Amino acid sequence: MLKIIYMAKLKEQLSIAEETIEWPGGTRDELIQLLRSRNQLWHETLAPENVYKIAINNSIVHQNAHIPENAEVALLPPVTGG
Amino acid sequence: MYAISIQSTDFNLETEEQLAEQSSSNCGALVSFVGKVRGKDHEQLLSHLYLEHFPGVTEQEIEKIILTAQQKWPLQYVKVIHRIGEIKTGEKIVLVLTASEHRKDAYQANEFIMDYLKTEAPFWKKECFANGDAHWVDMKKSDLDHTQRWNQA
Repeated sequence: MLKIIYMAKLKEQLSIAEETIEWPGGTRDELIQLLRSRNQLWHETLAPENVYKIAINNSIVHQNAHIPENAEVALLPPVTGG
Repeated sequence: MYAISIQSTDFNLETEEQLAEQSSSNCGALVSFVGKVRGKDHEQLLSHLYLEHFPGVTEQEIEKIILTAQQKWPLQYVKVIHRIGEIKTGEKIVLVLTASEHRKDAYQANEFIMDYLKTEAPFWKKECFANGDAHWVDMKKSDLDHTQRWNQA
């Protein structure tokens, strides 16, 4: 199982804050592809320019990392603080 | 020494400067940057900003930025305050305070920390306009360019 948390703009555009899905383990890119394949809204919202980084178990990863089973993942849109 | 605070309430610059002085043994330079909410964006009147962040992770990311700055410059004290939630026009959003013996170190480290805060720390800003419109702010390419410049230096 994989818990997915959607932050800020992604949460509003997809109308979902978090969910849990079946997950046998895989990479960040595989996860994003899987979510994009849901429908047009997911495909467009999770376009590469809209997903800046992901966090795996509360740690931001910068490359296409492996996401283990039973992890918690957060999808982060491009940041705009300061 | 450094300190990080993510808070919904406002902060007092004078209090923070006094804390910095008490925490630095031989401080010759104290640089403070305060970011504020502008009154309008692209001529549209703003009502307030709404700032969301990633609790737990934001602090770690800011800590990484400060530790990198401390490796590059001899800093005696660093303080980062970033506000979250609803922040009205004219109010302060962010404080970066750097103290060192000499001014160039404090200046450069301050700019470095601010540049990385804008592109690495997980904060998201929503602009809420006076006419009721609201939208999430897009990341600026110029901000990314500013951060990348430090890699080339």
